[in-house]
Amino acid sequence: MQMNNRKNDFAEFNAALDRLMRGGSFTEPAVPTATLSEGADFKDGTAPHQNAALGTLILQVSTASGSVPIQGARVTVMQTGGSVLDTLTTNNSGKTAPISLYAPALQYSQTPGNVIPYSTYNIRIEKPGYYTQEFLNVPIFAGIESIQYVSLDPLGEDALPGDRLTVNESQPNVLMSGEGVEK
Amino acid sequence: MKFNFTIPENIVVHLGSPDDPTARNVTVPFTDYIKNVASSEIYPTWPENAIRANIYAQISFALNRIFTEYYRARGYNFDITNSTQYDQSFVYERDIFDNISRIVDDIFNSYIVRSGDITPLYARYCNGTTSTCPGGMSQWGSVSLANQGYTPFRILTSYYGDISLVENAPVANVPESYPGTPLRVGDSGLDVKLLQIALNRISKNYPAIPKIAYPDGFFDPVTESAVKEFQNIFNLTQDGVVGRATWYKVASVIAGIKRLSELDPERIPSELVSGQFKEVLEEGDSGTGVIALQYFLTFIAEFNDFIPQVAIDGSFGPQTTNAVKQFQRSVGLPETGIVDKTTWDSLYSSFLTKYNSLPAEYRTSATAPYPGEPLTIGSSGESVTTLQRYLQLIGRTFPEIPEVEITGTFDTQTLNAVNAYAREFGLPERGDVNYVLWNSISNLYSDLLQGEEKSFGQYPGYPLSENSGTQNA
Repeated sequence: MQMNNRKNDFAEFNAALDRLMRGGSFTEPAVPTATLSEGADFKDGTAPHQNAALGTLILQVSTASGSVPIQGARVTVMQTGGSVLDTLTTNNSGKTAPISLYAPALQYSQTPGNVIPYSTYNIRIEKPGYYTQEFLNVPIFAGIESIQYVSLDPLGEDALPGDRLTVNESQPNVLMSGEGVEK
Repeated sequence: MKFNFTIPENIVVHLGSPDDPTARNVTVPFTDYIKNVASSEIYPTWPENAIRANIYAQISFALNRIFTEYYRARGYNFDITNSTQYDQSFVYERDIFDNISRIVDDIFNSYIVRSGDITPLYARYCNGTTSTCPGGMSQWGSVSLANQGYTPFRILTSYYGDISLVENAPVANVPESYPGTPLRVGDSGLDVKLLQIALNRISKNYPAIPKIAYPDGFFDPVTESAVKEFQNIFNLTQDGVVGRATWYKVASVIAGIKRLSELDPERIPSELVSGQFKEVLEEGDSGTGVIALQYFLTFIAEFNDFIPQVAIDGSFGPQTTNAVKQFQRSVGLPETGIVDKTTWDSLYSSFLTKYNSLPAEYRTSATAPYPGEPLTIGSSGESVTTLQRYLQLIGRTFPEIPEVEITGTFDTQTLNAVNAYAREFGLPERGDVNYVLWNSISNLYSDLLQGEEKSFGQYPGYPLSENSGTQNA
């Protein structure tokens, strides 16, 4: 039950960010308080985000346990709602340039609370000859660089079209999910 | 009782509760596992001292499971689960936070013990809000203590009591332990030379790393720029200094690259890599068919974390059965653990797909296999010619090794070079070239040869001038 509420909060927050980004400049780190507060009320009554910050994302794509970097893989970064935020390609080390993405302000991760202190994005990686991969709900924190390692799996000639996609869904952080029981 | 406890290269994680048969096992490098746990259990935005304290606990918890064989002693085929009811959170394929990654690369071979004990501590912890654990660490509590100025060790002692930290423990499958002091510009010696050879070899796969044209054991500015680019690619602090984190990262990257090139089918006798199905194979069998099977499994495991690593020893034991079952599961075949024609054909086709996907330059391998018996004074033939060729090339980088003429006969000149090689690398001077020495020489030859190859546009390792000729211009 609680989990569901949080999921909704999450969707709300992402929707708010989505609105925010369509309205504003993507490179502008400061976020007008009024825009964010609007529609970003959390169902459990806690305060909405007063401001948002930026985190960064880097993709590092390889095959054979990291021994062979994959150059020229096409990377698409999306809002969890679906809109495409950025497309890039990997360099000869298999890496993308850092991608700036909005994240909740730093304060939310400094004390226990009900506001999820990270934002999430979806990523797709495509390279001819390999299974396409999707990573869902990839978390981004304020001021932190996230590295998404991608290990591409070669596609056999006999692979069916429906077999050509691998989806990895990330899980909520233990501190948020409430699953952190004593070990 | 295990003494000389080493940090394992890999850990096998069960993705579910211990008795959940639908949950799969993944084999992942130990450092990647800890980075994943830390990224899943705590927030990367916490004060650094709190992050470090938590990572020490996470490392110790995992090592305790391995050291005590907690699951394996109970008949499970994994080291740890990712169920937070039993173990630490681990989210397969999740993103890793850069600051956490750097800290783990720095301290992955350090752990907590109860003072006077050698067992990595069963370092219990909980979030400290919705669950509390007497005798364990509070994750949120560690943040408060860090904010009060506590060091990581003080945070740990305030929860776990009388403990000490085992630092820089030996690491499995790393031939050279970290020398203890960082290597930097101005340093020289064999450590630097081996580092240069390793970086050159890695730069064949990662051409952004500039070539070190002369791996002469002097840590010069070109070496520094190669180190900096290596650090940039592998997400380490880009200071151009080879401390513990960079040393072990170089070791693990080169180990992976070499594993792959040693698996190259061109190095394996062709009758072993024939795709032809001959007979049903199952536990208890042995022979060349089993070697081929284990070879295919090992190759596929380089691309698929769900396939556990097996030894290529020609004997079909429980390890091989388990790997066959995991493969069958990956491709949707019944998990029988028995290799019939369907499983064999599927294995071979999976192997071919993966092998053919590798760029051509990774497929060429240069070294000859061990001739089958030790070479000594008086031996002659193609193997001796090969040995002399290898020693000649090595002698260009290692002036300690006297010059060898290629005669095809194992003469005193060859013996002197072989003995000088053994001295240089701390191997026994036996007066012949046995299996160990052959492999050492051919590996170094291969590293030097492949390390010299440059990709198009790669910095050649020395400034070009009008007199450089046209080869690299």
